[in-house]
Amino acid sequence: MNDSRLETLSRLEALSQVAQDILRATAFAFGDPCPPAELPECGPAAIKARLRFQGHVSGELILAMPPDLCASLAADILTEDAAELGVEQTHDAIKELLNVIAGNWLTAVYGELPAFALSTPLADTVEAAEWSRLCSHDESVGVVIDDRPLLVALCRS
Amino acid sequence: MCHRILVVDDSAMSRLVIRKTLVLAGLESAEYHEASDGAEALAVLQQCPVDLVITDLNMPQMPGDELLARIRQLPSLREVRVIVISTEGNRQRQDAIRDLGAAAFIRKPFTPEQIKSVIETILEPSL
Repeated sequence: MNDSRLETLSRLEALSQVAQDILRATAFAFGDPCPPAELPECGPAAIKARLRFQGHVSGELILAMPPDLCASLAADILTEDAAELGVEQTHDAIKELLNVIAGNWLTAVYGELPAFALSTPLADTVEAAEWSRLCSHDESVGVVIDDRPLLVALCRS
Repeated sequence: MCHRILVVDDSAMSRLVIRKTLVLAGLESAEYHEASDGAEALAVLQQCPVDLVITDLNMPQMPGDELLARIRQLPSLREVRVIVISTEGNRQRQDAIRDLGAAAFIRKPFTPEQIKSVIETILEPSL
């Protein structure tokens, strides 16, 4: 295995671990790592948040999951009933989760010395075809939470 | 004593989480104000004097470090304590924030215990 492949694996292992740690710390959600291609079915539509990072290296991170999982995580973060949360709060939750994952992942991989600028996260819907593309993307990691799929994809510039 | 606290974050969810955490930290009777970025925070500060500002760093309009610098420039706000809460992992930027006059820097994700410990240090002995 060449150095570049090892670096990619290391980046992705860190991404998976950081995502699990942040979900546990913020939403008390205990996820299991899972290859993206083996994730449970997502359903007809998912939601995603995306954020650009620029600095020592640059690229984009995408966090995607089914809306019901996002509502459930938002409810756990806010200690409120998921049924009482609106779309805006659900989108706010996925954006904030991605923001925290991105900041902690960059430090985990590149250390505390390089400075990175993070863009404001944006939330959007994900159609089935895009979900499939994200699952087959070379630099995606999957996590299963209560039998529901969560994806984090890294797209380097 | 009833503390007056301004929570500044572009995420409404983060503002709510911080407020809930502060309540858990013993500040249930505090008077809370909110703003979604630095510019809005300065407008709130003109109207409502506060003891403590808790601000995010990366926000549209005016980021947290610029808000902190502006607060330190205004004589009327010199006594206001500022805590920065952010995902920022860069050591130099964290040091720069402390040099600007932040009383503390807390990295996300934070625990209620972390917040409580920092608040007790900053607002003691009036808590």
